[in-house]
Amino acid sequence: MSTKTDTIAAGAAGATPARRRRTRRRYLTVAAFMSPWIVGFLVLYVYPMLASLYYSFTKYDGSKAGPRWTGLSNYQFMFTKDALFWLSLRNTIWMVLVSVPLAIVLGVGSAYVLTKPRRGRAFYRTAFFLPTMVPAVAAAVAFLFLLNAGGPIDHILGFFHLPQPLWFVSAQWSKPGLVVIGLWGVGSTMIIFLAALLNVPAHLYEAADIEGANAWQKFRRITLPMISPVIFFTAVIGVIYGFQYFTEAYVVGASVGSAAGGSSSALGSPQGSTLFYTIWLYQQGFESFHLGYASAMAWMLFLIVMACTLVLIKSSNRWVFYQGGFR
Amino acid sequence: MRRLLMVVAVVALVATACSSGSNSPGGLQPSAQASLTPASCSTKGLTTVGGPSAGPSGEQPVTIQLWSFYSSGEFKKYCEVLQDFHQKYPWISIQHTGGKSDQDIFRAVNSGTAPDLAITSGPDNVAKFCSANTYTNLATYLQNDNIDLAAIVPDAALRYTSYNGDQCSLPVLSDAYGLYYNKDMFSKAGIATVPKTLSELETDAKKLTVFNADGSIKVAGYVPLQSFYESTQLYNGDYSGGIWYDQNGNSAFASDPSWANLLQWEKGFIADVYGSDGYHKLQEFFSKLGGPDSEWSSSHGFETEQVAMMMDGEWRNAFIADDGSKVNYGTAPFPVADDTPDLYGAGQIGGDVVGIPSNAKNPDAAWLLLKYLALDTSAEVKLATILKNVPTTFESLKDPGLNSDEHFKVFLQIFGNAHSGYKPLTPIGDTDTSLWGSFIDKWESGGVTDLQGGLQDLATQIDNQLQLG
Repeated sequence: MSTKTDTIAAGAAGATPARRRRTRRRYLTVAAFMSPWIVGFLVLYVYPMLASLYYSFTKYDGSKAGPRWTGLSNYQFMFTKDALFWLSLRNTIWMVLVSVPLAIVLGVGSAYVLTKPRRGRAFYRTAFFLPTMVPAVAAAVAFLFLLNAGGPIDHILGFFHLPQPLWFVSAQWSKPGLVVIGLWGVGSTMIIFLAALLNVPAHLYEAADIEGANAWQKFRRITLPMISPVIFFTAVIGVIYGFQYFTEAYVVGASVGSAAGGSSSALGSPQGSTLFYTIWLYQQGFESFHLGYASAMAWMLFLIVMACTLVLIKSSNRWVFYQGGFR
Repeated sequence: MRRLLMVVAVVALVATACSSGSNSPGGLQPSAQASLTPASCSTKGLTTVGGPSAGPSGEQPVTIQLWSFYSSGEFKKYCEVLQDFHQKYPWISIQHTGGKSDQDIFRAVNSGTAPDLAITSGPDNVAKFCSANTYTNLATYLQNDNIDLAAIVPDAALRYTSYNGDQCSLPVLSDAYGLYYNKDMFSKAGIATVPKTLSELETDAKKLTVFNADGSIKVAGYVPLQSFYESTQLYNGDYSGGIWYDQNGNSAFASDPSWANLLQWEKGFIADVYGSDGYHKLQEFFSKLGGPDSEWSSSHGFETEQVAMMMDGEWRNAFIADDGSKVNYGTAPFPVADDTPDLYGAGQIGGDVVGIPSNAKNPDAAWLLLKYLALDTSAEVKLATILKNVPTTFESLKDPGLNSDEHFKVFLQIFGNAHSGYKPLTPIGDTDTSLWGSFIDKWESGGVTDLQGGLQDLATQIDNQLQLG
């Protein structure tokens, strides 16, 4: 045993200089190719994250006076003294719980429909995908006009004697209105589902046909399991982005609640219904100059999102089917 | 190990996703994008006035950086006054960058890239800029030039440009808010005089309001909703004697009864003039007018004669003329609460603020421009004339040209009234105003059942924000 070990050691020692040079050169080459990403990751991700973690334990307004260590006081303030933290969190959770499942259902549904036409398939796909090309701010402004009382959709609803809600002026309808804007841009989700649907092996459906399965049974027993990894992916990404929901709500809230040249006179108008977590975070960080507190809010959001993602991943054991069994 | 890998993967995924995307509101901010065009006034976000030339006493040519919030038409008009300045001080050229927010200025100062002079659109962040040493205290400059500010600028304007005795900025043009009323509608309704108290406002609004057959509003006498155009200014305390902060610096929304009284008046007004479902009717009416965006278009409710009376700033005169509206209107100070008649004639004021960043590279030249813009009568009058805002010095307020317009004259008088003012400044910027606005929003909709309790919660919330600093 000892002889063998000595031999290997001796051999390794004998090959060391040339081999080490080769290995080092290979490492350096890899590192050189990876350096743009490494530098970017360190400068744009790691440093800001660590800095914001530090700031979250300080009182800091961004001025030259610099941050002052205050321990856990920002976190304590968040849970005990900031009512709008809870309101914004509630609004955000509502948005995630409603918009993510709806986006998945509509995405799957529209993708499923798009697998059917034999003619003009490319046109329909383009038509469904096109809204995702519209910038979020432009979409929000357009929907403010479309859903406004006296606007086109209001007229159509009135023509059919349907209820004509005040949408962004009403606290009950403002969030559903924002969901409508989000669903209008569901094309990006749809395109992923379309790819997944087209990837389901045709022989599975043929076998099911032979067994006499109906359309619903085929969808429930073949299609859904086969696209479940994509549903899972969409859910995870949807939850992550849902908690960061900002642009449309900012535009709508600022428009409805603004006065005097656009300065916000009522946060999350109407009646706080569009005050989402990131909007309150933005207000604290950049309007009130509470950068320390805003950093604490950002880290709390990070923890919440991570917890939700872990729950989703944990639950995926039960409902996500991986073809080939690889996880 | 597998679990550990999974956790690492999740952290990486969330961290990457959390910081990606382009949802930054910075994308909403206008930014300067233009090449230098020496000695010209462009409508773009960047322009340069003047060229290198020495001063009469051998002063070295210098170019100062001026940042302002101005954009498009106003940006170009401002250039005219900068050219006048350059003629007076030929060795000083100005590079003017528009579309800059308060946050841009704050960041630039703290990152060492500050301009020499900055103009912001309102006083909300003056307290922060003074206390955080973002702007230079002007005391030394004022002392060296023997300037007695109290003799030149009304006290209220000096209050909203200073904090804790630190005069770190000066006013340069202001807004003033008053009553606009439709003379034809007044005449038709048999109203001979403008309302001076909130009770009279309610009585007149009732006479002026016209409903459609289905009960919806055809013409609104007056819309008190704080989200309606500039109606929000009514709730800043200037017309009802409301105090924002007590002597200890704590929020006075719960302790000063005038706030609760004002909100009760509003609720009573809506029920009396528009009926028990008046709130919903007003929301529908405003929405059909085009919502808040209609304020800046020719479909404005007052200009299209669907609103008989409203609160608005002096600039509406220019909008009415520019939009080609045929409305036959008058202006007056806004009515005040019945128990504070001595406040009549006063109103909400406040406007542009100019300061020298603490790390400006050319502070002395910047001071000359600041002094010119804020204290020179001819510059103030010219700015007020071309931008249709209220000038901010005693002398410019007396200008015969500005006073010749009866509509505009009312706002000059409001600005000069001793009771006029802006809410007290705090280092939390406009957060107190936003929280107050949110509370009114909730109150109007019926979401507040216990008014006093709600005001107490609001006061606590504002005090907590102040604690954060």
